[in-house]
Amino acid sequence: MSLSYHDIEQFIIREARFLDDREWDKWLECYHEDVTYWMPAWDDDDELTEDPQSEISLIYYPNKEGLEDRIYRIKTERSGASSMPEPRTTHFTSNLEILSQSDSEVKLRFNWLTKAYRYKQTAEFFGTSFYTLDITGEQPVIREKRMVLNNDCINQVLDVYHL
Amino acid sequence: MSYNIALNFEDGVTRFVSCNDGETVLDAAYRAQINLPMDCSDGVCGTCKGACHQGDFDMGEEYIDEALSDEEADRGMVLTCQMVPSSDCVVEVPVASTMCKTGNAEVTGTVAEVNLISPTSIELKIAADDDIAFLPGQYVNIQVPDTEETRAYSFSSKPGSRDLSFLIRNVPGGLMSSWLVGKARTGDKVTLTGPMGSFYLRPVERSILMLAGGTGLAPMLAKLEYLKVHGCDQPTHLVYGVSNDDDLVCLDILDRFAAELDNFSYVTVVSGEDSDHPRKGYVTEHMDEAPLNDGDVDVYLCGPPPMVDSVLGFFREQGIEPNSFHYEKFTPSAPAAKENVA
Repeated sequence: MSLSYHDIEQFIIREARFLDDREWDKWLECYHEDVTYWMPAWDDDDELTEDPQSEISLIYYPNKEGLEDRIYRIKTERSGASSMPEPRTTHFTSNLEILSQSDSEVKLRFNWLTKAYRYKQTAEFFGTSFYTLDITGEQPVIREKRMVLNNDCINQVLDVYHL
Repeated sequence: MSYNIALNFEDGVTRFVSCNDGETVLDAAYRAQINLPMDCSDGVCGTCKGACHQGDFDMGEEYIDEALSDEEADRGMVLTCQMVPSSDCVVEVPVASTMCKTGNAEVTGTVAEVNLISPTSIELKIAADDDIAFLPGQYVNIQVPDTEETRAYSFSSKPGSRDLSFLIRNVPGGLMSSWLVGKARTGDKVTLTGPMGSFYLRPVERSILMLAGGTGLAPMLAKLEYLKVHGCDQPTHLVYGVSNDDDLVCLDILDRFAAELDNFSYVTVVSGEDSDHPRKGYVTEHMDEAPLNDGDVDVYLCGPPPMVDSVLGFFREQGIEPNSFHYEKFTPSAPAAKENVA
């Protein structure tokens, strides 16, 4: 499959929209079964950690089961490990760049800003995401998602719906 | 040992949960299927912040200042994830109950008695099928049988008892009044949702002045029932005003409170011109015995809107600012109204 810049941009926008609209199952369909979902941490020297196996990460799931687990918790509304109610979020995505493209995959980066409103307070998170898309199927799916969170002072909750 | 924790939500809903010894309010609520606000449950984030001005509890030493400052703690603010009660408590939760995946409790009961205790007042007694907890002074919505309408009435009965009573103004043509007077039979099923409202008795730490207009007496009776059980060591005075002699009800109950309850006294006032009652006019004209203490008094007022306004004006004119002033306005319901309280 060959994807145009527009196709790729539409994919990014759609994935974010599924989170804002709380279409959790459709959001999960954007991911490959073997996706790595990784948000490295900023270390004391202001450098990003590089190895999720030996260094600390803010979020790390080695496959889709971790994401499915999060969605299960959000949907059942009864979990000590998920905050309720999930906030109203608005995702903004921009600055999409295609880093490389082959017949089977696309590597890309884009900037994001998410505003989240809950309990009468607005939180915001922003940064850059790096995706590897698997484009061998009918729809592109995310094979790797590495998120760099620039405002990493997380007072309260940071969950998949913020990212 | 367990304690009853009243969770008062921002939308007026109150839910009661049972909290075990050593258990946090957050955990107790969670067991009761109520998701209080929280993120870390570790005293770090402050998401679960609320307030508790009633009851004893321990907050421990584990939480951090960013989550709850000393100044906030001094003002009675709490973190429900750290708060371990050692008595019954009333906790204010600063979000709507729906945000916590909960809402009003629903309890069914049966009509035990309907008594026309005066031409203008009806006493309704209901035997609840289950326990229904409420704070003295709160109200419930009672569904008018065979309709979708509800009417709000304050409990006049003692908290903790399944024998509920209500004092209802007999509104000619009113939906509930018509049902009560014309159709209600002992044993009829009724549905109550609640409790609700913030017109409940606060900790008794200074003298109390209760001002009741008409069936606004009901929540005062519940408060007095509570004081009878828990003791009343502060001067407590009730001024009970009505429009006509016929409207004065429950005087036998008030006489009993006056005889049995230390520090309690009351007077009645009738505003109607035809009345030959010894105290005529409005409650504000008969405050001689009110323990105002230059403002060191907690005032509870339940009556129609003009009464609320005139009492507020009275305090302004006297230059007295009571320590606290709690009031509930009520009006007879128009057919579609739902939020009125009697």
